[in-house]
Amino acid sequence: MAEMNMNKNAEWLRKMAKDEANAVVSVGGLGVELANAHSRRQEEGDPLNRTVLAKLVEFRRRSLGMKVEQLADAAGVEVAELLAIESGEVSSPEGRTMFQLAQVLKLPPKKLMQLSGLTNVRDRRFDEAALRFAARSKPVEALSKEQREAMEELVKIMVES
Amino acid sequence: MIEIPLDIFDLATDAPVTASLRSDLTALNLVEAETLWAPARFKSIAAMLKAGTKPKDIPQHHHWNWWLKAGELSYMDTEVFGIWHSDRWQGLMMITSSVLHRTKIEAQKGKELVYVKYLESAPWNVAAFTKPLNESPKFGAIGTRLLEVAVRRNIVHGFRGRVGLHALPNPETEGFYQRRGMQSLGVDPGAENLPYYEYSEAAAQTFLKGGG
Repeated sequence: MAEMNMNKNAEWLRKMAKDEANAVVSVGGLGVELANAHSRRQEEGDPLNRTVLAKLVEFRRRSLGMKVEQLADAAGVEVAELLAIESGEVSSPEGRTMFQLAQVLKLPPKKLMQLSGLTNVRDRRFDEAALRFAARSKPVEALSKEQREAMEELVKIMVES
Repeated sequence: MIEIPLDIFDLATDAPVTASLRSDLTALNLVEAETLWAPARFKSIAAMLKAGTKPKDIPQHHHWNWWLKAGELSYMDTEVFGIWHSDRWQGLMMITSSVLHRTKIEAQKGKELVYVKYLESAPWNVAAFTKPLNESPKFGAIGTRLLEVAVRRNIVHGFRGRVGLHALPNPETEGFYQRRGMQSLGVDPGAENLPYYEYSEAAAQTFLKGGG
């Protein structure tokens, strides 16, 4: 900083101020960089959303008393793909798959898309419910009361919002 | 934080006034500034909409919501400068000399440069925002001063004034950089088609000496 000798000519400054005329002088590189980083993360999928999506599909299927094969069959989805979604391995499932699953599981397609990173609408209440659901989604054989309640809360918010 | 005195132009008195140029800022200072800048912009945009301005005619806000994605901010190789006066940030700039950015002007192609990532003057210094509120801009030459800092900083780095940036795509913004001697290299498909501008070493020197 000490080595920077800024122009001290007052007439020059006046001339520059008049010429600049309080215009918009904004530079957009940072905006582009952040938008790119953001969309890269969207493509990779948010790990938390991936967990929520996996658990929601699994719990919802189980609460409807369906086996993996049955759900895959009813939704017209490959068993392998469904297993990958339920185990949280799929980072960016196809829109069609999500839509079909939503139909059979009676969940709002838009919200399921959101969880799968296909849309990027944010909703704090939904995010918080998703977080609580994820926190209670430890794998157990039968759904506990607590797990069922967390799922129902999330589904309720999905339907409402 | 290092600071040196720096004159900006006070439009109320039509005379220079001494502000302070601060360096060694962080991205957090940008976020801090937004807490004042964003409401000022919203107020103005609300007035524009109320007066019947069509959304497409509202000044570009290409990156004005960048702070929503501040979690993605990389602090690597960046320097942030700000002009402080009247207890607030009057203008801010973020520069980098990362190897990711190289010169594009043919005569100096592929060399190191200082890339301006972000530069903005506070909304109360921008006519497009003050006019809808029937107010006058407060301070002038903020953009000029920040650009001058980028060039001088760059000479300290040994890059002989080579500075590059992506301007917002409108005649007002682009004219500002053109009149200060930056060369237009057309829209950049790698940066959402924003127009890219660069200083040749000679043009940067002319600007520093007080020429256009």
